[in-house]
Amino acid sequence: MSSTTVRKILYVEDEPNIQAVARMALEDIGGFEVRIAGSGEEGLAEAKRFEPDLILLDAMMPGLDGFGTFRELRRDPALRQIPVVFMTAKVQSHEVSSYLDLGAWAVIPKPFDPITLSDEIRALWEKHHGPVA
Amino acid sequence: MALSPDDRRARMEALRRKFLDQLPEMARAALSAFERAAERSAGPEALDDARRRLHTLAGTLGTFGYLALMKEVRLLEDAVRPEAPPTAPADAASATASLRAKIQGLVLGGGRPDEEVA
Repeated sequence: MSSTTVRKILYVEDEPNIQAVARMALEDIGGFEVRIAGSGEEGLAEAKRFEPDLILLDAMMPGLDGFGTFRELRRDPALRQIPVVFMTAKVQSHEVSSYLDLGAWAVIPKPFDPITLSDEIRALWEKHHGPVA
Repeated sequence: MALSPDDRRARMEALRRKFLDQLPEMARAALSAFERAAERSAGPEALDDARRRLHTLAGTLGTFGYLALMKEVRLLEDAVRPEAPPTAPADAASATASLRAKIQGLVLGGGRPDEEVA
């Protein structure tokens, strides 16, 4: 989970059509190894199994929402160091600040561009870890 | 490994067609929820249900490049926030009728997006 390259991505998103587009963007265009979880609860379980390098987290989901999922991730010693990027349509400055104040790496606005999503993620990774080898 | 631009467009088109098949039912449920939320007797659960369905509908429309429709649905989503003033049932019915017609037109017209996303 503390690898120097980003290879494994967990995307937590409840909408199946958006999941499908994200999978294409991340797996087929970006070349990442991808797992999709359909809820916050499922995301927490999958994060333990899959040990992703990075988690993309939808903010508004039924049940455990993005904020709740993020808090649970940070409570768990095995998961708390995994970087989290929120994916949300709520991108007014105060909303973005609230995610960053929590400790999220960044916020990617929805709708995302499937062509550039992987590049955005690699750029974020480089910003935090230095250039990818 | 990476998809060619042609393969990418074909994959995106297939995903878009699948979404368009589901869109009428997804829109029907979301717009009906909005109308229920506008009723005088609506409680917080009705508002929350409408907000969630409209949020999903708007987000999915946007993902497939239907940006004008996404913005219209977002206006309805904003109208059912807890802090928003109540929407009169007649205004809700008018807004949903307009959106239903546009969505039906989109589906019947083959679903050409405002913006190509792949």
